[in-house]
Amino acid sequence: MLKHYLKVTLRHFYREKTYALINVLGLSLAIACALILFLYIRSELTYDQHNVNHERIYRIANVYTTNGKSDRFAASSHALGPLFLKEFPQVGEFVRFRDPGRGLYRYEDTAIFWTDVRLADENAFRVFTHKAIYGDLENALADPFAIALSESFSRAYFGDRNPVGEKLKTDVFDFRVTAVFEDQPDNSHLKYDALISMNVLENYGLSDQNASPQQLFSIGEYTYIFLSPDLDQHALETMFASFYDKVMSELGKRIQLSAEFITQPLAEVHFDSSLGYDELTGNVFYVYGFFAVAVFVVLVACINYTNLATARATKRAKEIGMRKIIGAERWQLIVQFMGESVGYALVALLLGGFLVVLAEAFTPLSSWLGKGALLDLSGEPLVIMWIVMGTILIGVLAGIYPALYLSSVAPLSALTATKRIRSSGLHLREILIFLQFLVSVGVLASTVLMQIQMRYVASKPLGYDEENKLSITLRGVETLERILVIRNELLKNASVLGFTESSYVPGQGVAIQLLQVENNQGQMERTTLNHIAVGKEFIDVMDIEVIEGRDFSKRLLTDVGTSVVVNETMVKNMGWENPIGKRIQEFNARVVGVVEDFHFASLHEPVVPMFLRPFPPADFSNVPPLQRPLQARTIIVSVAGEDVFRTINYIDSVISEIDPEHPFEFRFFDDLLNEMYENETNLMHLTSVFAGICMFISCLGLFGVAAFTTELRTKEIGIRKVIGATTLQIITMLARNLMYLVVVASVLASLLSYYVMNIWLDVFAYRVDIEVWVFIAASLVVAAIAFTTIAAQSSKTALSNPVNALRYE
Amino acid sequence: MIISASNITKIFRTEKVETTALDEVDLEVDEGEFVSLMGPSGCGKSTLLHILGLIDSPSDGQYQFLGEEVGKYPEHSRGRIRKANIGFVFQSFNLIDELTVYENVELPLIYNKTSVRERAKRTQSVLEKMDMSHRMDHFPLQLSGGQQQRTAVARAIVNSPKLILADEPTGNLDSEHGDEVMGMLRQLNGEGSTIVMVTHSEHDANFADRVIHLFDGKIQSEENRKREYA
Repeated sequence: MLKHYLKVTLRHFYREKTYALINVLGLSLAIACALILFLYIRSELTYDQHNVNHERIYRIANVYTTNGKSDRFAASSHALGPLFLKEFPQVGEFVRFRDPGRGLYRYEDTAIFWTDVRLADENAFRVFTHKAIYGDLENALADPFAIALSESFSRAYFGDRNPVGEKLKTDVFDFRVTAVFEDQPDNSHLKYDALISMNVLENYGLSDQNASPQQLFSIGEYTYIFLSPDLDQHALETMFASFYDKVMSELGKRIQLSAEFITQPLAEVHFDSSLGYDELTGNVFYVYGFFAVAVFVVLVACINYTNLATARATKRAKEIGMRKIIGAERWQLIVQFMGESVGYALVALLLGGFLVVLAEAFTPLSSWLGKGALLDLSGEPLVIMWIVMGTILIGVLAGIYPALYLSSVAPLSALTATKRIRSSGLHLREILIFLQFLVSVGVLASTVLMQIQMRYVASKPLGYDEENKLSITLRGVETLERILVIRNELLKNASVLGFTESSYVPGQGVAIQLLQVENNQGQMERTTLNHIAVGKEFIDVMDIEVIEGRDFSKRLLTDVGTSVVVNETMVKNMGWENPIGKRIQEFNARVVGVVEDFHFASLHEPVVPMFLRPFPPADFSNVPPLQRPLQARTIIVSVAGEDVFRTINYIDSVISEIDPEHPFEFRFFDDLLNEMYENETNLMHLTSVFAGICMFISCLGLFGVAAFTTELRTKEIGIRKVIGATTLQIITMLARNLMYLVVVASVLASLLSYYVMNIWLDVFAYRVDIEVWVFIAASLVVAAIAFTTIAAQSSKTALSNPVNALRYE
Repeated sequence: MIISASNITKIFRTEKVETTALDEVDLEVDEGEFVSLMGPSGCGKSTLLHILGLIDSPSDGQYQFLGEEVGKYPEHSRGRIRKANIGFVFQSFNLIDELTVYENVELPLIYNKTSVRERAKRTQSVLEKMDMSHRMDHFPLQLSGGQQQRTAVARAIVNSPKLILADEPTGNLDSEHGDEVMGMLRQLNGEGSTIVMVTHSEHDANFADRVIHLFDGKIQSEENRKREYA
């Protein structure tokens, strides 16, 4: 029986190639999309779950509150782990990761900068799951000068050979390679290319033995608790609450700061985007969104299948009727038709899988999704099984209605006209086509709105001139001490228009500090503030507008202490009527000027109150020897628009002469800014692609349905032409009903899209308003495409000699 | 008695029009009989055949098939009886285009859950009988009309049905192929099959034992005929 069905399906396939092609193409595209999105969503939802112990690992985050204002941070204090364990030794273990900053690692002639190297406690490899390639991970971080490398890191220096025992040099220490571990899965919230033993900090006098409660209020690393098996999250929270009461509350009161701890189960860290000083987090909204898109696209393809299959009922009525006459029971026909649709879906899965492979190889798909190879499913039979099951489900979904509908055909239909069949299928077909239009208009309008927002983000004045600005990091005291020489050398070149320093460039973390600031009434008030240390020419070089007072490029004789310049938001927040002269106690500083707000952070964030202060004079004489190579400072160089790369070469030569140790590195401001919108830009690319696919599949379906509708009405068309209808009138007549559907679907889709896009746009502190024309345009485009599709299909009949149409019956 | 129908009425209703296709028809057919139904277009002969063949149900009246009252049966019950007992031959052959000659003939056996081996045996034998074995891998559209109808007859008899119903079996054939098919039906009847055939053709009707004339949904006359081939 199965063989019989298979044979019949294949022959139908062969006999009605257009129909088969529309179905397979539509389903393949849909399955390819669904496959990609399924694998993406799976990756998002299983973050950090490759860690065998993930259910027992918690990251400890903090909420600090002062003056009723709370700040949440993912990072915690270096002293937290050891002090907490001292109070509650039964809790288990702690593991900390610390970011030593971007650094240069050398082996023989190879010198490479790495951003994601972390210091980690000895037990990191015992608590977090890694696969060893070389060496013994258990004890890899015991030695203070030990470094364990990821496979990629190791490959960059040593190729495929075992590097254990080799020495890597940094600016300060030499580290001995103790192990190599497999690269972490893409879905790890904390990624590192190499781990250095945390014990190296002992060289700086930082050891767990002398950890003190005072350190608990300054944060800088991630602390994880590996909970003992007989405790749960609630117990851990209770312990942290009592830890605060016992160890921190007194101290907190003294500095008017209270803290609270948040215990985050490891698998939930990825989706918590509420914390400052965190790694890049995921967005549940995108997961929902992508899930919706996957469902939409599959739905549209299933609708096509259902539509075309029921439209074909007329053609198959004879076969079905005959089968019934000679003894087929209804369930046998249902099995046959469901089998056909499942067959189509499975063929589409093969083709869809192939499409995904092609897409991964030849398009930036993986980088848009922020994932590595999605389709690498070797060793994951369960996932493959899920995919096949999902595909069968799609087949069942697409085939269920046609199967029920076709199998209900009366046996007499084999012998008589089939008017009855066609009319009953029509209603559902209209509903299904309506749904397709709904999805198409909705997705298209949303894509356009995303484009508009991203354009707005790209073109919104940021309050400074970001064009042709280079950000360059100078490293090591020897270089920093000669910063003036570098400045003067660079400014000798006419193409170098400006030079300044800044402790902060777009995309970096900005210093935030609890400070005492003079309020409008003249009293000192505690508040958390962002501040940037800058060169004296900063405001000038960056072309930031001073709206009150002056910048600090020139020092007046009347200046007392440090001069600072504040932004408009700070003036507003402090309620200052006359900002000039206001004091900031900690820096012994007074406000000398106010600048217009400028955006160094992304437009997701509103401008925060901040002040600019000049770097203190470059005096590094007190820096201890081990710290000297670690000192770094970012300079901003403004260059002329012409011949930029020649200028860059010049800058390279000047800096490399003074610092031959470090390879020259620079970033354009534009790039730094664009990086902040990488998520949204990728999302926009993806949505555009999916919108295109959605539209394409819908058109395929429409094309098919138009073909059948036209065929059914061939005789009517002939008669109408004989009595005087023009071709256009015929096409209009055929398209009219579908056009009504477009109008209704457009209205509904616009409302839905408006709602969803409002949520999306709210991610941005600075966003566009949603305008009606977007929806009108999207509706018109979809209507035009639909009309063209129908016209292309029906014009053949409409244009032909009417007698052909009449002869048809 | 294989068929016993009394007061069979069939009314087709549309929104405004009611058409009586059959008006209180009584008919009995004995096992082994060859009956011809004749009459002008629209007289109800095909409708009667469909009801007798259980592919349509009467609006009113009683219909006993093999002693079982089936007039009010729903489609699935009629289907059960149909597939075990009735074979059909149509004017337009009604072969399934996607299946080969062999597969078309085999299909009723599949639906009757006949074993694979038995299926092959019976299909082969029927095809030989109908002189179609040399064409068994062809698709219907590759055959002449006569060959298609021979295949349809093969399909109708492969299950050894008690009753064969033929609706204008020669209507789409030239006279030579028409006679060939009629000869086959005659032969099957000679071997014991009961046949009820609708026809326009006096010539074909002569192959039957009994000819029933219908007009406006009623039986007008009945005549017993001498067999041409005894």
